[in-house]
Amino acid sequence: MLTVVSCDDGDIIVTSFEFDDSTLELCRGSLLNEFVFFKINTTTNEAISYNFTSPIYNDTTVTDTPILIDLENDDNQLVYRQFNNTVTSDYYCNTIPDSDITVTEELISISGEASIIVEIVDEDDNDGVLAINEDVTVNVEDEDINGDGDLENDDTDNDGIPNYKDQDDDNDNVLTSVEIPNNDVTDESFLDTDEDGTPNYLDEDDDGDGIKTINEDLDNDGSPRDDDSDNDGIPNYLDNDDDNDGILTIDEDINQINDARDDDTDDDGIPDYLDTNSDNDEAPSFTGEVSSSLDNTVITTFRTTLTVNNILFGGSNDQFTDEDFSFGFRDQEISITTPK
Amino acid sequence: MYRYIYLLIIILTITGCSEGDIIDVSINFDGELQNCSNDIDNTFVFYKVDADNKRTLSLSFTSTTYDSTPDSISTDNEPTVITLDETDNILIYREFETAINGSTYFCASVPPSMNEISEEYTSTDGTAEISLEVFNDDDPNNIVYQRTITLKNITFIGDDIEIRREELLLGSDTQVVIPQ
Repeated sequence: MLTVVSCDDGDIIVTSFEFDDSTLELCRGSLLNEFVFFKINTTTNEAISYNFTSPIYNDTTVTDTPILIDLENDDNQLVYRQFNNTVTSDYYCNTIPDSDITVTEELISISGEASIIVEIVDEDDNDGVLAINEDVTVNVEDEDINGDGDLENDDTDNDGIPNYKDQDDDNDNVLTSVEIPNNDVTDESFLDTDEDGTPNYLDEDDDGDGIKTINEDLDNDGSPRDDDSDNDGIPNYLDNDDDNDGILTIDEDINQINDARDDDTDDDGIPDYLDTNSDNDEAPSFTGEVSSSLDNTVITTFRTTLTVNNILFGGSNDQFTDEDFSFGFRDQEISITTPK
Repeated sequence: MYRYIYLLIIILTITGCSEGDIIDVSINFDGELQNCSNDIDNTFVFYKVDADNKRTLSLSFTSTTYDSTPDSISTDNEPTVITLDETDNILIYREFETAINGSTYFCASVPPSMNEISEEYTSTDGTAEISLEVFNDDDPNNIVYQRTITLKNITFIGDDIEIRREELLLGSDTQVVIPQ
């Protein structure tokens, strides 16, 4: 009986919090703008939580200055608890409290200040090219083309989207993720069809036939990948002899303007590079300039970092030394798509 | 002598009946129907608390289609039927050692720490029906509906106890529908 009474008095011998190995989690409460950050230690059956209401906090909105919140009441406090049982993350923000869980010890803040920072820690186009090549032993190129350590100034196609965030680095309407794999699993270099030293994902003329990849989209549907005039299984943008007549496309550029599309010797409406003979076996093709049309999706990682400073607990907690507690951080990844 | 035996049988029969009545009273009580929800998780709870604040009856469920504050109700309004299960849709009867506050007990982002449950029965089978009936339509822009929640074919299971009910009224409240 005495033990029980002394427990109820709040004589908890907790000198500091140990949650370094626990993951910081977040849930949204039932009230508007209500959040709970929490960490659960499943080996010691204890948890620490910070619940608050904020109209400006969002785990995917960058904070210009830290959000500072005074801990002052039930709706905004730091709570440390020990349990009789293992708790899971649905302990918080649930509609009905779990009847199997009993709180055996509890510390509740009466004052303090929370600081919440949200920043972007990573942006990647997921195109298969590492944003920063961290493994120097593997011979892979990274998106820091000029090697100056700054990813922002590498924009091969000058479309305003730096390569590390650009899913189509050369703006040829063929995604980088499609253009980099070569057919040799032992070869880690990127595919370079015309072997001009510029890999396809950075090459605006992948087959070196003088016609830009983007313009080998004969049906102008925004994808050069479905255009194969000679039906040889190699789409025109990778085919250096588009009509399979034995004369390379680049050599069918009669007027030598670096584009074979305006050369039609027999005036049948089919340019020579697609014309195997003089009979009209193909419809005239689109010979205008195709514009880039691919939406760009960037995977962005937002990081929330939470610390609570100058913590004061109710009851007697003279032994407590951790007056500042760092919850650590929590990352949230989202896809942001920019339409062309 | 036989008269006494008959009397005894009658007394025993009455006693037996009243045993059932006691149980009935203990899981059914009057209380205002209240509700709260977590919109992010699509979880809802309808509950009532008895006059002493020591007993609760709650229906919690997860639904992506149920709207607790609709801005329109179709004319062929069918009741929403929630099928109870062992995970998300559960009917719970609880008794507490000390009085609780329903509005802070349910849907609290950090659950209350000092509410010891002395008795708990849960039903994981049966259905809950949420029906809406026009209560007052004098003002077409402010139609008042009565919402009624009825539990059907439920089986409360607790320690060494099983209570079956074909129909149990959780309660009803009114709801104003303002067309958007």
